[in-house]
Amino acid sequence: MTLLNDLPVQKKLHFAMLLTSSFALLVACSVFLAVEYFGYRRNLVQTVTTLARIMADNSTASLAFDDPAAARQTLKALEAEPQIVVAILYRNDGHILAHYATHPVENPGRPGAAGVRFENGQVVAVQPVIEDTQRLGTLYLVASQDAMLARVRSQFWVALAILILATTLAALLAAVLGRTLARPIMELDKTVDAVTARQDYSLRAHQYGDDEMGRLTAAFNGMLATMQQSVGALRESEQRFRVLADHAPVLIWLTDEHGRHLWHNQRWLDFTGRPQATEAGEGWANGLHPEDREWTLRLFHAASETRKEFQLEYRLRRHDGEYRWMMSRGLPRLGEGAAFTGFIGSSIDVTDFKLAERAVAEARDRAIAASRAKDNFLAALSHELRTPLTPVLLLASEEAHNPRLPPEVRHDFEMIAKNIALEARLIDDLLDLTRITRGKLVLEQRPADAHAILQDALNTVDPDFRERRINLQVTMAAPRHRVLGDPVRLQQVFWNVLKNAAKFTPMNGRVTVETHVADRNRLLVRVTDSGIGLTPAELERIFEAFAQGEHADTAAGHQFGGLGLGLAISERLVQLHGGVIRASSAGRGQGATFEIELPLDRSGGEPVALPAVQPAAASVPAGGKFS
Amino acid sequence: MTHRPTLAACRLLRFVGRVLVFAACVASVRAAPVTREYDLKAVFLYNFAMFVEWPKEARPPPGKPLVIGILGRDPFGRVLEDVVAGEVLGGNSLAVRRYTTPEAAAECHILYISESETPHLPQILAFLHGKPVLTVADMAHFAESGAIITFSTGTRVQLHINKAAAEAAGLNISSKLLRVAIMVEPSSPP
Repeated sequence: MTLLNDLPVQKKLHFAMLLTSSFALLVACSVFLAVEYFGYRRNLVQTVTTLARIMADNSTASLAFDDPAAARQTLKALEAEPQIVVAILYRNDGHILAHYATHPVENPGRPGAAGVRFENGQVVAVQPVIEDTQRLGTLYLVASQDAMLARVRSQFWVALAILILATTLAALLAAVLGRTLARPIMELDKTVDAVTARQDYSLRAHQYGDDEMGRLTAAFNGMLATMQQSVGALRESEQRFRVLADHAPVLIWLTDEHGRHLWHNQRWLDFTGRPQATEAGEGWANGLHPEDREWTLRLFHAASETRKEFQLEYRLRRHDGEYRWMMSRGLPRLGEGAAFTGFIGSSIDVTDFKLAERAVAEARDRAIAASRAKDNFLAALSHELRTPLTPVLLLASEEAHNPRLPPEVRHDFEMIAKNIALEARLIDDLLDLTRITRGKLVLEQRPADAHAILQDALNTVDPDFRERRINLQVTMAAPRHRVLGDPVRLQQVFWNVLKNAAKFTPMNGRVTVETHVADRNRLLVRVTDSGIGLTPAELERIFEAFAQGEHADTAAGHQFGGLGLGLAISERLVQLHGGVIRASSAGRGQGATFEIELPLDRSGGEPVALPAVQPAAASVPAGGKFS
Repeated sequence: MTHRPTLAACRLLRFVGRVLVFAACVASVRAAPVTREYDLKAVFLYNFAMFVEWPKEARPPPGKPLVIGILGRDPFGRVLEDVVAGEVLGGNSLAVRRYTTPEAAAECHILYISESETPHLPQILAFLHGKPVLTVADMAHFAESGAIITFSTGTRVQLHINKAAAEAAGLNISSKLLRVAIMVEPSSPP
């Protein structure tokens, strides 16, 4: 059967048909012969039996009256039956009354039991001779099978001839039919071979008919069409990838699952100035900086083990011999069934970026150092400037009220005291700002009544409003007004904002101060003036240090000097209290509004230390002192 | 297939076969008449019953025997009785009776007319003519006796049948029996 497996289908069909038909013919012939043989045999037995009965019946009188001649006459009738070769009529005492034989034969002695039997290839019939009920003797008949066998034999030859003829015809038919039946299969086979050999998916198998083979062929052709499409799409996609990869502004490479480089895009080859062939495998590593080569390769191997995305920077020799810093990034490639097939990676030249980054870092370090030096200088300077002012201010204030001095002198001293106070406050502001910038400012945190603090600030600024005849309206409407913070610093904030309002509001102007509770737990203090207002550009920089509005020099506020530190300090202080300060204005000449939002105290009333702020050292003099 | 002996063996077998067949034939034919003529005739008398059909009214009713009669001197002795003893034909047993007068003998079915009655044979036959009795006579010296069946004894016991007489008696004799017998012309009744 394994031999049969390797035969071509055509031969198989041929053999199958031939075997089937031959077997059927053989069985038919055998059955025919067997039926013939047994039919003849049955006929012979029947004939012999009938003859025996007739002969026996006709022999009764011969036996009864002991007439051998009559008996012989009776038996002589058997000449008409050539297959009967022997007939013997026995008397009851075993003696022979008469016999008949086509050729002399041996006397069997005794006839044996009644019935028909086969003996030595002959049919032997033993028939009792009975008249009425009397047994008169026995008839012994022998029939030859020769005639029957001769007929069967001749039929055997005829059957054999038919068998051979029919088998030959069947073989011819099977050959023709087998070729016809196998044709679609051969066609498919041929097409498969051609497609495999030439990788040409545009080939098609010719379809014969619309039977199962025809449908199979159609399905196969359909598969080929699909293959043609997908192969075309694949080629196109690959083409696109190559074009994309070769024209991408980065270097692109592919590795196998062991981290060995398989392919590089044109840009990589242009960058290194080496051909694809020498870059493959670990050849590309020859272009690495000697210091980077070993650990870079180790990292590639490690990445192939973990099969995870990785990133590294190494120095790669450019075609002009210069080593350039490359930032490389590898992404695992997953094939069918999410199997790891290697990495796809990109590399970019980050040398310029690294240099720029270094320059920026150096510049920043220098700037930080310079800033620190400036702060230190400012702190030292302020302190050195501020310290001598205190005794001068004390002395000038004292002399200004000295009744023993003439009024002109007292007036001069008053002027001196006023200007020194101004200068001291400016220096204090500078010191504050420096402290805040250096993180040296320490706030006290305790519950305080914001209304009381606001009132103190108003009291302090009140002379300015009076002097400029400004209409001040105060509405403290907030039902809850206890906040958590440093009362001295909060007063400084309010003072700064009020002072600012007074400063930029013209004579007979109007300033409104009101308080509310906003968002349930925030205290809102709003100060609105009818002053010169702010332009959008000014609004943007209003809380920056040293950023006075352009009007500062021209307006009446000039007398306050004006380094523009007050609002900057105020903003930092409010932020340190967890609050917000906002400025808004409809524009030049439209007045301005400042809003300060502070979180309301929701605790019991005991002083609570906020974690971010150290308990106040209370060594800093409040700004309000110097007004 | 038939077993085929060699040619020589064939011939030998044929010769032996011939000898045996001949011997058997001679022995069977000869034995009866020479040694036991009347034994054979007794059997024949009995055998006639098998090949002869009596008219309905003459047929013995069931339970009654078919009678074989002997008229005149009995040449059989006990032999005839021995032959028929225990035999049953057509549902009837057989009986042997001896008669002295034809009138008495008219009741039987088969009547053997002994040689002793030869002088009166024509009268006897005339009396029995037309009666359903199978008359059997022994005629050694005449070609025919006038009886329905006549034994003639030569090398063997030969039967002669007077068919006309049988028909007159209303008896139907089987063709098988006729085949082994010699037909005779009917003799004119005396």
